Amino acid sequence: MLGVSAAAAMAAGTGLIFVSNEKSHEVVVLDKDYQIVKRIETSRRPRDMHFNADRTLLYVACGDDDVIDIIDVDTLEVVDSIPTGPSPEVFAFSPDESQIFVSNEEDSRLEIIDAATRTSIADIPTGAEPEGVLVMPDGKTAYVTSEVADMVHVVDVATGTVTKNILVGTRPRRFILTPDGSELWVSCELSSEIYVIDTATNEIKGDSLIFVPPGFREEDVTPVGMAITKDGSKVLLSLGRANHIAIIDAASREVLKYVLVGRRAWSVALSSDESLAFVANGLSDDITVVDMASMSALQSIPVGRVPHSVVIDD
Amino acid sequence: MRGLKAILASVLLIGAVAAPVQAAGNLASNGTRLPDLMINSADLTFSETSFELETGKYYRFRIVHDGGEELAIMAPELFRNSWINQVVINDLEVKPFGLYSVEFDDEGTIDIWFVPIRPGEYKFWAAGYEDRGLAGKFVVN
Repeated sequence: MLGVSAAAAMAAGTGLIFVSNEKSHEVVVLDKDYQIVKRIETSRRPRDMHFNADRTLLYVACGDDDVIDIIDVDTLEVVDSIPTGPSPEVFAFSPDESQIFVSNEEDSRLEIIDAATRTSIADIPTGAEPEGVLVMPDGKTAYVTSEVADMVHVVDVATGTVTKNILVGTRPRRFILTPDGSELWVSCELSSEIYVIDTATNEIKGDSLIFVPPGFREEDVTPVGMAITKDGSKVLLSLGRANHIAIIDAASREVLKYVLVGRRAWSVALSSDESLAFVANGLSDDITVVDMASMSALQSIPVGRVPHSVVIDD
Repeated sequence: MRGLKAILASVLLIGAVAAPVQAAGNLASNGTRLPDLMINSADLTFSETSFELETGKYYRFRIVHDGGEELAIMAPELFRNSWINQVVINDLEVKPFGLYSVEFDDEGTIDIWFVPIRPGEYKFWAAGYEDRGLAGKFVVN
């Protein structure tokens, strides 16, 4: 697609850890020993990141320059940029990677970009300040949150229309989908809640979930990022200003452990063998490495100003 | 001649009296600078949580945000009971008829120049953060 794929194909599985820093306009690269090996200058305000399927390329949404930068994982250079609508924040690929679904925060749109031609092929109105984006594995339905409308919009991809609005808690942010595709979890930052949506009916399933670490007040909890294990048994939830992540038994919804991390725990990612979790801490400018076996923090590593997301090439 | 002098003197006198009256009626001048409202988004604190104001006085209310969170500053009852002369956002002026809130998507400074017109106690807060420490009040006497 970009002329770099062939050369970069060997790069997959490098073990490198990539962190986007919103305020220092860079993606920081750490090796397996958590040593910084490179700071890759990007377009302004890099936020959400995703690899392509073979992990040769890393896509980075850069909110203040209205582009998705593309980093070659082998050379660790920005090799291309895809223009988007204003203020791209979070994005997702279609299952075949032919399309990119991106929330344009400033324009209140879910934009669908054809990855090959780099052209916008759909521009779907949403509530104000859309953020979280998730495309279902069948590619037929997409979900997007609106931070201001407190809604999850259900989008029919074929027609490019919103077919349903689901009212959730205050300032909904991100999604995870259970591996069987049956449940969509939505973090609601300001009401401190997690909503679970039944994807068969697009109705809210049960009561909202609230996780408050000992010694904190409910209003300290501002959940944002989530991750789920491949077997769907555990959910990792960043609790924002409560400075912890919650490791949750997905079936019972019970907390297995609260793990103290950095300040304003924001995004969380699992290594492919699920032995480690990495948490981006937006206020302490570091990431925390969490050992999943003991469910405890191993160490924190300073990375730069306002880390937003972490991805691991392992 | 005496008659003309008397008329001229009267005109001058009227002019002398009228000018200060006009100036006194202009509330939107020589505004009082209130202490800046500094938002610390890391600690979720306002530098000021109470302002004492008087009706009929002209004020500059400056809000300075570090940009760590997207925040909307709300003071709808104060604004409803004030005359808003201008809102200055990073040195760009807006002359509104009314105001509900101002919102920071990034770091910056917003000045609201206004005259309170009705006494009362009016709350201000950051939407969604009012129970997290970002709240205060204006007391207008």
